[in-house]
Amino acid sequence: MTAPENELRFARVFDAPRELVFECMIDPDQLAHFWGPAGTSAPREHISVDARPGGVFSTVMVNDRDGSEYPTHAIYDEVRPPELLSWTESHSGMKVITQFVALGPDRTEIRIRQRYVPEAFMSPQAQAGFLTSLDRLAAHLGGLAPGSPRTRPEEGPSE
Amino acid sequence: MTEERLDAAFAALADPTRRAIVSRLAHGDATVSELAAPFAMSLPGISKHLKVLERSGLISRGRDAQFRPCHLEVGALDQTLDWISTHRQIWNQRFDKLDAHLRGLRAGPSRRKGSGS
Repeated sequence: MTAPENELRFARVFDAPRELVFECMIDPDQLAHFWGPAGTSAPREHISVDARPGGVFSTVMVNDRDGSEYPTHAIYDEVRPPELLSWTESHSGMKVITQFVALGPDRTEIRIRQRYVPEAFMSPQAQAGFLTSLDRLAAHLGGLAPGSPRTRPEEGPSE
Repeated sequence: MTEERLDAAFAALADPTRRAIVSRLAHGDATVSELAAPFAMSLPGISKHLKVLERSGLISRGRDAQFRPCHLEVGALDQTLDWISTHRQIWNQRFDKLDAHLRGLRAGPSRRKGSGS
C-alpha cells in the first residue's frame, strides 16, 4: 500500500527451501536453466555473476528461433543471502529488488519489485540500449502465447 | 519532479472513471461536456479528473478553442502499458522455468542442495 505507484510487483511461491531458491538466482549454472523467458534461452557462457555490492550481473537472452541476442547488464546494489538481492540495470536505470521469503522449510516466495523507468526519462544511450534489447524481446514475446497466470500482482502481505 | 510525474501517471490509471475517460479518448478527441455525458457526474467533477490526467501527461488539452478538446497522449499511455505487460510476461515465464528447474533439482540426485562455497 505504501509502495511507490511507479513500482511493479510480482510474486511466486516455489516448493523449495529458501537457500536453494536464492542460490538459483546467483549461480550461472542454475540461471542458464530459467533466465530466458519462453522462446529464448540464456546460454551459460554469456552469464556473469559477481554477487556482491558493485559486482556485475550480466546475461544475454537468445531468441531460439533466429538467434537474436538481448543483452542485459546490471550492477548489484545489495546482496544479502538468502533473503535479498537487488541490482540496477545499466542500460535502463531500472532497479530490481528480489526478496526471498521463507514460508516454510520447503516453501519460498520470491517477491520482485521493479521500478518503472519510461524511455523518455532515460539517457540517449540508455534509450538505444532499451530499444535494441528489451523492445525486440517484447516484440518476440508478443508473438508467443501469454504466460501462465500464476504470477500475481502483489497486493500486500496476505495471500 | 520526474518521480512526481511518474507517480501521477500510475495513480491516474488507478481510478475507474479516469480509465473510462482514457478509453473514450482512444476513439478521438472530445470536449469536457462530451466526456461528461456517459457519467452521472457534474462538469466540475469531470474537470477534476481531467486535471489529474493532464498532470500525469496522459492527456493534453487544446489551448485556443473555447471548448479545449481533450487529446489522449497515446505515446505516454502505450509506453506505460507496454512496460507493464512486457515485464509481467518476462517474470511469469522465468518463474515457470525456475519452478520446473527446482522440481528437477529436487527430484534428481541432490547434487546442488547445499549452499555452495
